[in-house]
Amino acid sequence: MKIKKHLKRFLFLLVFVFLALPFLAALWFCHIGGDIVCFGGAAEVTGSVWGPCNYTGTVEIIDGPPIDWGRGDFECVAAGRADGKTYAVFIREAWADYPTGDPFKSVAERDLCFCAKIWIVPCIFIVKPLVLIAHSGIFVVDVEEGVGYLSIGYWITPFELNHSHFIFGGNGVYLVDGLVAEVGVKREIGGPLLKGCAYRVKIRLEPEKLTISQPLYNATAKAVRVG
Amino acid sequence: MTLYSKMAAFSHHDVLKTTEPLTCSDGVHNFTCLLSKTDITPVLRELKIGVAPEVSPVARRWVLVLDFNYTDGTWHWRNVTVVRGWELKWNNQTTYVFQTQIKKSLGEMVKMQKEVSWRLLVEELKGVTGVGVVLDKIIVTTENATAAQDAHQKKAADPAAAKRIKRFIKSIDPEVEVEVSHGKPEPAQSRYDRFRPVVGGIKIDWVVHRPSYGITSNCTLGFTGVVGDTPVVLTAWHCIAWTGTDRTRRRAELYQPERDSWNLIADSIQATCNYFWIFDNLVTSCDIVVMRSMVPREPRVFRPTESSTPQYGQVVRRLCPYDVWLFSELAKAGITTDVTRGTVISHCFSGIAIGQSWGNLTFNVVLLCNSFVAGMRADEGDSGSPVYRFEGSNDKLGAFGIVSGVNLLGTIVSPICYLPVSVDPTR
Repeated sequence: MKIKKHLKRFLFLLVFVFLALPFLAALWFCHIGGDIVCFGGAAEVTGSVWGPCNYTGTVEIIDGPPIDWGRGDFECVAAGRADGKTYAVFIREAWADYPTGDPFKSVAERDLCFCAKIWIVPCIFIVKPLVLIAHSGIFVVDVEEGVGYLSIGYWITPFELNHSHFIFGGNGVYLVDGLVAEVGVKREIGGPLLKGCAYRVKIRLEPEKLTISQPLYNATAKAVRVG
Repeated sequence: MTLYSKMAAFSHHDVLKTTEPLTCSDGVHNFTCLLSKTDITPVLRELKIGVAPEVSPVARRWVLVLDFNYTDGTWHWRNVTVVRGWELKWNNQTTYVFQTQIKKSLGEMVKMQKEVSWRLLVEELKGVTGVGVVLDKIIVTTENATAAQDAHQKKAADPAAAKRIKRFIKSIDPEVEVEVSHGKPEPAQSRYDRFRPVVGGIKIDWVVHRPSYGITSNCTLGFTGVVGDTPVVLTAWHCIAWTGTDRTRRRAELYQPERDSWNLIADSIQATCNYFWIFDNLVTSCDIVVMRSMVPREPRVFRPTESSTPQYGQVVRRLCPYDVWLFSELAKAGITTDVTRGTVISHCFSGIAIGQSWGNLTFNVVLLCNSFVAGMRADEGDSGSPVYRFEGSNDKLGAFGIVSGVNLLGTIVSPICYLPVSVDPTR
């Protein structure tokens, strides 16, 4: 009788662990972290479009969110002045895959997060396509303060971004809307996209290796702030 | 956007009859200019949407245009007689347009290049390795060369081959100027290199122009072959996000090795697997897309074994599921995990890929009754890899299928026999 009681308790505990495990795993694997700041949605912005920039140094992000960076390095696409400060915009390819479509952490962690969210057992039988999807990491750096704002441009590659897509306006740097369907960050893998937000990170940059251009023309357009 | 790049874009699409922007000189200063078949009126008419430049006439009888001689590999200034000239100013930018007696505008040359490329590279002449346009000239490179006298001397195009190519192009358009030079691509060292002709097991980039935004993905090229007489290349359908169904119609472009205008190898879908939609599920017989090839191709797979030799495996036959017995070995060559092998344990494995997206459409894909290969390792980027069996030796392959995806137990492979069109991967 006593054994039966213990067996019941054990089975109950086993079921509880089995049910609770995915939630615990999801908390662990899906959490991205990072200091998130939000600038608001798309708005009509007036400012200057600056010419292309050149940067020959290294860009180091200190304690940033875990991004699955793709080929190449950060490439400076635009630099100019806004709000009395010098900003440089860097672009880098970030890799994602199905089924999450997110470029955070490693492939294995993304898969585990996904499995934890949809339960372990059905996950075993799901087919995972092996395609690498390219998104863009858009990194706006406040050169003097050593602070950067990192956001993800979903469904767009660095190939499609150049200096003419960035407006240096009154408060900061804006990305012309309509080019990127979804720009923002996430708190967790597979979670909702926080549009118009960015991770605020500390950076190490070599300002003397940055060459900025000059304002090319004034522009007024609907745009989202990225830094 | 600069003033001259806007004009070049119009000219590329044959709206304006100008050349591309050129480096020009008056003998003292260098500047950017465009040569035009017409006067300035049509240029200003097309530019008026968004750009209204100030225009002033320029009194000039000639202009020097920087040109490149591909035969001897030297730059030189070409003296061009000017009929009339104009200076255009807009947004602190200055561009010059000179009306001259050019034979072909940029748009006309681009059209010409497309036709000549197709016929030279795909249909007609052997040994042609590249076709490009510069100013009003077509530049063709051929691997046929005269012998160099020493190792440092540049080889010249074989005169007989050059004559044959020139005669061929003149038969398409007698007006166009043709330059033939020697050019032989270096042998490829890795799956990430540029391959011409294209073969299986190499890196490709996909670009799909979906509603409101695009998608770019990395995959592996599967097999090449023909459907009837149409040259084709095969890879995984999901690499283009299942574009090509009645709910997902858009243009897909295939680049090798990566996205760049001169790396485009296919831009029209020849066939996909059979499918039907049921609610938000795409049910399909396989995960393969057949694209019409725009570049030379060969029925081979790059480095089909774990070692660096042989460099290529020749596809000698097409295999259908029951040509490959259960528990027999298959191999795949992918860009991420290279060559891996596994054991066929089922020819009827169905699976579901969830969370696929296309524009605002989110759906699941049900893959019906494909093959399952246990122990074959594959990872992100390996989608589309050729799956084959060695036919007696390491350099002879039987083409079986295309890597679709994985689950925790193994790799799902779509047999090429499941396509609704008959692909011959040996030609």
